[in-house]
Amino acid sequence: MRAALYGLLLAVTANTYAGERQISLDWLKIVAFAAHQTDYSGVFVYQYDNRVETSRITHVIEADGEYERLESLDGPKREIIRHHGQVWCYINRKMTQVDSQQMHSRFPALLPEQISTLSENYQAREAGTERVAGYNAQVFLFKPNDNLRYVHKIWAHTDSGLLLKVAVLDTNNQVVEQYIFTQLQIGGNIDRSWIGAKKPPQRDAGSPTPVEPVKSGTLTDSAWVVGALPPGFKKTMEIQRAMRGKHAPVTQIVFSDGLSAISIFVEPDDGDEDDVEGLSSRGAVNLYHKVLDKHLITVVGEVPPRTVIQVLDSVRYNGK
Amino acid sequence: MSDREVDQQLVERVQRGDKHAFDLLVSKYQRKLGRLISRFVRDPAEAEDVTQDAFIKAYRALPGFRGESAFYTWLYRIGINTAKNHLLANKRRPMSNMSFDAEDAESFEDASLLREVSTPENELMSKQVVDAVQTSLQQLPEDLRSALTLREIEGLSYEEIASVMNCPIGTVRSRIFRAREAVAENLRPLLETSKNNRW
Amino acid sequence: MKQEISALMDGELFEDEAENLLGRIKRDSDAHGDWEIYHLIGDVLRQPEHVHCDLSAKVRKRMQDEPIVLAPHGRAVKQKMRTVALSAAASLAAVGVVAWMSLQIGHETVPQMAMKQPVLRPASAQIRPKANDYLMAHHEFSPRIIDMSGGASYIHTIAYTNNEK
Repeated sequence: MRAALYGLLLAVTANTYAGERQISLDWLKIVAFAAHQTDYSGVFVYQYDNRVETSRITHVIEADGEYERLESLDGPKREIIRHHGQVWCYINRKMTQVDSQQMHSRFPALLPEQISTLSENYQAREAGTERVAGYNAQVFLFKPNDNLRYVHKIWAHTDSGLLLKVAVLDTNNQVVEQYIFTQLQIGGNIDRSWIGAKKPPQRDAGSPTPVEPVKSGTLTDSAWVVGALPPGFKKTMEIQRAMRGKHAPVTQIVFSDGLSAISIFVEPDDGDEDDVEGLSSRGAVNLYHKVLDKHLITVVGEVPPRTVIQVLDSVRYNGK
Repeated sequence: MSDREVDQQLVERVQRGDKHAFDLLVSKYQRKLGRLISRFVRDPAEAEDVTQDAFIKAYRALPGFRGESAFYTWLYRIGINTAKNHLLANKRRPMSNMSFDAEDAESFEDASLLREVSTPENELMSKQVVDAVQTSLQQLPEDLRSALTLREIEGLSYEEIASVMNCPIGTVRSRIFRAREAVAENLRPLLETSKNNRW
Repeated sequence: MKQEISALMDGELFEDEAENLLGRIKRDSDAHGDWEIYHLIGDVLRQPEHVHCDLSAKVRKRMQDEPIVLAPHGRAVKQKMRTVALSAAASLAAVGVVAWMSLQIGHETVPQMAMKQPVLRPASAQIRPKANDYLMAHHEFSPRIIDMSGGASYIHTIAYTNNEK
């Protein structure tokens, strides 16, 4: 961890000497690692659309891997424990087990090509140091090269690389959503009593609700194309998948610019009145859907509303 | 609360059985919806009937409104469908492009797209209302006029207006209210006399 | 009260104030008139070329024949649960303080921290429960600078499933 962090600081320094304010993106890797390799426990606030939610997170490394526990601090008690791609949810003391193994094994964090894509589409720069939750943080700003994506600003703990605050801003510099640790303990004596205790035996506690995880899909290459993707978005994935409540398989095409992704879902229109066109959002994620040539097209992405609209409006079928 | 949240609050009241809350929504959106429908239905009297129908349909459909879109986006969609059905029932082709989506609903303030709909009977009244509003606005003290204009035309929030006008938010609130009330004062007699007329 | 009505239509009251005021407007026909006329003024200022209709009286009359509508029992609560859990899911990708996202019920409106909405932003548009599946599917493939997981999405799914029962 330490070594990695020195790497981070070196990367920043080197570029400063070179006379530019842009930073190397190496530190991103450190940040990505830090989330996995650090013991910490703290309370953070998630703020979006005029709303605030508070949660406590605890993350520890044990001999058999990472354990993570997330508890809601407002409203009814909810708790999630994650270990080895397995997820246990406790809602009002009822336990639910969810297996998400597949998702984890298939999609490693931060591929090298993502980093290079990112640097093509965003100006990354160092934006000074600030204090967050009592820790010194290095601030980094990612400004997109156009107004079709959001500005991302992150505050990384200067010692560990752990993210202390993350904000997504629109082009007017208004916060779209942000996460802030308000209290945080890094390392030291962190409560682990929940690890063994909560480890669920079988699916028998109370009346658990089995939840089907999203089924993994098969790779495919449909003839659906997007004419007006913002520059720099590259196709990373196209699959056919089953989705809850859908009879026919849904085609999902994913594009990424390294920091944000846009998914396009195509399925036969089932004439559901609910599927009228519309735009909706939560925090930085916007969703736009409409029916096109007897297909329901849904575009989802952590990009501004205009982008999901532009993307959807340029979707067309290129087959016969 | 945002404007949209106010709508949502009104919707929830209707969903709890409060008809009056729907009345407030009608007062608020009647002209916007009327404008929308007049894009499709040429005849003003017909357009007005269709607008009424659309409101009634919306009222009946309201229990199913789940707030996934803005209320007015949803309302506009009902307006469009009502207009389309009206035209189909009369075997007429719609006068403008029917592919109308949520984005249009949000942006259709664009007056250049709109066609004048007028009948002699309402034109005069309409003109008087507009004149009264504009004249009263001109007579307002500068700070009241600016506050109201920034709010109604520029769509700024009180906080933004406060920073533009360099005054406390409470002052903005009071200025906007005083401006509205002054204009309303001049409008009321006009509307009273025409209570039974269409305007 | 007039001043409060003016603030209400500008979306500048707190929720409880607004609720209270709406109750009072209901019992006061003058107040309703103020609401109507203030909106008329706004519309005239924005669109002077289209003010000729006053449907509200006509619609009101027709409304007298309409039954009172009620949303199915419990809808409001369910909606809230779904929305909340969803909010968690929706936020996953962009972020990364943690691998997991928040999932609590009971949002709180915090006006002093209010964030301005971009023009096109559909405000607090609630994403439909159905749409959550898309979000979940989307987040699986989002770039994971910071590790993200489907945890919150699951939470939502669970909340949803429970509600269906």
